[in-house]
Amino acid sequence: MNERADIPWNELQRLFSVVICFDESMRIIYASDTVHKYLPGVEDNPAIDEVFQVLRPGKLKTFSDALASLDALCLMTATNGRFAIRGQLVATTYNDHKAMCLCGAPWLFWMSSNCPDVRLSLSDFAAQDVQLDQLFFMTTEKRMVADLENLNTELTDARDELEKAHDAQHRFFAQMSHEMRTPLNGVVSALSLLEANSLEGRQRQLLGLAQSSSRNLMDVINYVLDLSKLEFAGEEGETVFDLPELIRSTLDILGAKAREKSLELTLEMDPDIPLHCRGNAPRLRQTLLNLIMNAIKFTDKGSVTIRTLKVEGEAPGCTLKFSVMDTGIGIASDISELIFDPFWTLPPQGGDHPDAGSGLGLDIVRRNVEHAGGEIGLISEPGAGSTFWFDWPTVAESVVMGASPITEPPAVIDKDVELSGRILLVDDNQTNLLLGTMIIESMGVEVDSAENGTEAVTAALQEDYDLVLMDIHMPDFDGIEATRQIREFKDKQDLPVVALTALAYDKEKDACMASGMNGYLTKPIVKQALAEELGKWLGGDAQNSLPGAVEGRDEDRGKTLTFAELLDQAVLEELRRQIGPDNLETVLTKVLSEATRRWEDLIIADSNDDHAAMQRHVHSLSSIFRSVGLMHAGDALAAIEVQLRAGAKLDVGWVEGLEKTKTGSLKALKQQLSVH
Amino acid sequence: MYGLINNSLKDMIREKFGEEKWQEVLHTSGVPADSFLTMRSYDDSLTYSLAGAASDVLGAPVDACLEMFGEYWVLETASKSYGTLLDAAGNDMLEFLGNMNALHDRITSTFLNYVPPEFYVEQNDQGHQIHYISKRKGLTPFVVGLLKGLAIRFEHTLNILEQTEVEVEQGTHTIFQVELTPK
Repeated sequence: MNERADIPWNELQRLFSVVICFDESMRIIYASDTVHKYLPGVEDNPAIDEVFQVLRPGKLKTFSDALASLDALCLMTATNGRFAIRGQLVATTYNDHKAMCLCGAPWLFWMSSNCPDVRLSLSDFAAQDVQLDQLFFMTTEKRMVADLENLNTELTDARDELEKAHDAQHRFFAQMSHEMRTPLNGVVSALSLLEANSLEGRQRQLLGLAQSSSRNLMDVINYVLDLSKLEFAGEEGETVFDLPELIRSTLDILGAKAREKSLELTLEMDPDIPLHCRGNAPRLRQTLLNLIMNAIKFTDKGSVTIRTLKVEGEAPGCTLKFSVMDTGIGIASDISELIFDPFWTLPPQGGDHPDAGSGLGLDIVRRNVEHAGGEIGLISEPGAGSTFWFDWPTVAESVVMGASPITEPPAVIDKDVELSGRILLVDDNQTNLLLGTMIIESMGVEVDSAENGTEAVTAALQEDYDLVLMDIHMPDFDGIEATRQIREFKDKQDLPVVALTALAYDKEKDACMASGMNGYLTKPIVKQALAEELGKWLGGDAQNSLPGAVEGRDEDRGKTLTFAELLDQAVLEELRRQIGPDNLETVLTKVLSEATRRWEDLIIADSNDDHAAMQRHVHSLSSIFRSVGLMHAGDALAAIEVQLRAGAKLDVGWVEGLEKTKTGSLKALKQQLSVH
Repeated sequence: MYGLINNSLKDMIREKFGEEKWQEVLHTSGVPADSFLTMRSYDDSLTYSLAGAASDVLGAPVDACLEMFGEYWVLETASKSYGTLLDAAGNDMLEFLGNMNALHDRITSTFLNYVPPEFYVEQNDQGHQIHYISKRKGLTPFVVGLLKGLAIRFEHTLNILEQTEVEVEQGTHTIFQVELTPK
């Protein structure tokens, strides 16, 4: 088995197309046909280094070098640059003399690159030689890479085209929705002006149908617009916002609707929720609004509760968990899966349950939540109410995470106007009546209401009012006609009448004044404007109370407040409990520097008459002060913010008054720092 | 067949008839992908579908389409991508055909599952007989195109005097009686 067999030279050449034999003097004594074909002169027995340059092995000068390189790859290029060999050395004998044999093949890659015009033939390579296979493989692989590159280009182009088409489609939708909304607004308004009472039977039914259809269409258009905005929102629309304020103001919007149905609307806020968050505040507000509005809509009695919790996350990120719980009609489990689908509405409930709407509100809610990276769900049982919950990931941006967010909004907002008298509020809309009554009563004015023209004229003539606030568009006869009838018996001095209307056309205003009205206000009611108007006709001093709200409400004006009065120790204690004394010290130090810097910014903004910047700085300062229990200063600043928002002119010297409070408050804070 | 063949067919239709015709061929063939990876093996039926669709769309018999493709394969695809190998395979058409099996053997070691055809040449009184033996059916017109392409490449005049189908159990055995003279 292991007996040595001699391989004849011609057989060796079957395995290797290149065979070169050289003796101990390194002279070539034999070469195969392929070598003769590509290397003229080899028949003259040249020395290896006369016709070849040896690249591998590193040293091949002597026969001993060759013997030492038996296992090495041998690469040689002909000195004429027209041939190259790839092979291996083997020791042998030639005519009974020691010899060395180089067995291999033309070095294909070198020759393809350096002398491509030399045409090698398939027969120059033994069948087992893989160089041609490698060449084939490499060529094919090159094509393969080109295929993939082409494919990649095609896919990239296709994606770009698709994105362009997608963008164009969305822009078109958004544009169309805008374009459609304008005339549709006209349709909705015109339909609302049609007097249903003057129609009968089928006409009245058709008017109702037109009104609800146009409202639904408006919902659909708004929905498409919303989707377009959401699609392109990206990071846009992200701001730092006051979270408790956002939640409260959302509830305020729907408070009247809940009261109208005698529902209890309550808010349960986790004291740990961040005061300031970064995110898309309008989307969060819209989400809450839609869910709470639905809860009120489908609840006949009982309550609607909004619960807000902070779920721990990796700081500064956290997740807010909102729940809107109602005691309404509930939802069967088999449809709770469908309820977030667009255009899905509750099946007709019968009785006096409200119209189910367009079926888009919950889809918008779901999209908003998903866009924010959260989840939404529903727990419900028919007849046992529903709980819609959603998670809203956010980033806390608080100056201080503290106890103060839950403090009640400053009383200044509701107590800034002190008037007296008795007025008649006329409006055919129950919500408007309720809201109007609440606002006016908050100013200390007694309010009676009338729901149509007939009631208004009767009350105005029979009772002794200081003023009539008259809606214009009412079912029986309008406010202009009602005023005309009143004026037949009472002139402008006897009983002032002020128009209160949603439509602000000059023509209508002229008609109002021509009918004998004394003034004209537009809805929605802006308290500032209403107070000013009422102040003209009623007792009290609305003018004084508005611009000077800080000083007007400041019962302590002129009095030096103690540190204990300036700084609410309970808030500080709560903070200390939550973050520890060391952190509290850091926080208080930061508050001192931040407040000082913000105050300077406020003064600069004031000197530049930059109301937007003033509003921003006042808001920040108020928030900073309240967060550490400096309630007096915080409230005073909040009052200034209210005036700035309302566009009111601030009293000369407001800075001095406020600076005193601010300085005292910061001193109180410094004292705390020195104590601890 | 490997994607190399399908890509070549695609290139030919696009080059000779334009992108629209190729899309039409693709649509007619019902082949879902419009890109093929050279080194991926695709089912033979896909290539046959493309050839059939090309015949429908171009309004030419399928044999003519395959012949055109055979010629394109030699003169464009193989020459451009595998010039060195083609050069190594022979200096004239007969030498090339004689080396064709060795060339295919080497391809078989790289493209696994590759099922190449066999060629051998016999000389007789009328000239030469070229035998084409394949496990596939229906590709004889493609081979006619290959032979015509090779004749152009090696600057020979090729005259196919007779084409005989030998009955075999599976696939194809075609004998081309040819007259082959250098130009």
